[in-house]
Amino acid sequence: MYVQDKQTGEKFESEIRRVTDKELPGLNKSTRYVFDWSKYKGQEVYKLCLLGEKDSLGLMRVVDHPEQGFDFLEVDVIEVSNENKGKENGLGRIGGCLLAYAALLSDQYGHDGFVFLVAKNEKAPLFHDKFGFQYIGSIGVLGERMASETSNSIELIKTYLEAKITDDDE
Amino acid sequence: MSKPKKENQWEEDDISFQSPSMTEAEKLENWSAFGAYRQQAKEKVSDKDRLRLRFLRLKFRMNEYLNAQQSDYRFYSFLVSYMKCFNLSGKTFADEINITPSELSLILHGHRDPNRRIMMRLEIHSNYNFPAPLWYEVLAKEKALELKDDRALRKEEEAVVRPKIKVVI
Repeated sequence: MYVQDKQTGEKFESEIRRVTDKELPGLNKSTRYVFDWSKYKGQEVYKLCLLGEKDSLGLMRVVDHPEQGFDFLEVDVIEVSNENKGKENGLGRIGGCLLAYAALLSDQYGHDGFVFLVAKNEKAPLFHDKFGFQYIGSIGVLGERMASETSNSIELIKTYLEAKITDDDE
Repeated sequence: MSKPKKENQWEEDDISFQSPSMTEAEKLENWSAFGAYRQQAKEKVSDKDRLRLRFLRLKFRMNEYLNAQQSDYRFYSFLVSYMKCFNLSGKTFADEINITPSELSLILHGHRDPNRRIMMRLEIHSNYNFPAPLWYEVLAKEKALELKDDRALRKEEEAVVRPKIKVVI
């Protein structure tokens, strides 16, 4: 798994770790994130970091829904750190690595890789075009319900988690 | 799904978002809609895709282990996970890779290391999805972590090595 400099194309090994409750308040104090992460104490939050580094490049909160009739993993929040936002700034692949990790967790929790989320209307095309999520129903101004099914989750994992720094770009 | 681009051709990939604020009733309705879709789509999932996912997850965890500074996992933990991908019993799996059940049992309990031949058979059994060098690296990592934490052996050997080089790099 790697992230890539958007300007030079240089690749850097990365890893995903669980965020501890102690770390959450610090995320809010930094100017690197906009969302209020301190409210997710005791919940399932992950961070993408450069391998061996402490600072995160992006964060994700997921919610497992094992209840009968549900049986899926929901991505509730994702945030790429400020310095890595935009077409030209910082490192790319951050969101993709986090989404792929959600797909992997979904399989680990027994949901066949099914991942659901509600995307804002302006972001929905990005989830669809770049990350293969399917539109499964609009909820008006609240956004679009979107799904990554098993086959798409496999592609996400192959593209973002299985990919090695030594692989050739296509 | 589009592929990542080469340098200076980066596509926007900032997917930062928060789920919209909803009432409890709206949340339940939303999850029910997801659940209904999931139940319908469940039948379309093939056994091959289920196995692909399990393989990818296991391989990811093996690679994660190779980068770990410390871990409770051992070679046999991953071999057990591999067998679970197919729900294979010890006897059947031992048959399939042509070793005795007792030899497999010794490996699965960490009492014996797999040899090169067994690692090659694991590669072949997995249809080359888990190359023999990956199994070897996992075993080597286990040994490296054991050595790193073996204070007693370090102390014992320090007593017999004379002299120690004084240069520090």
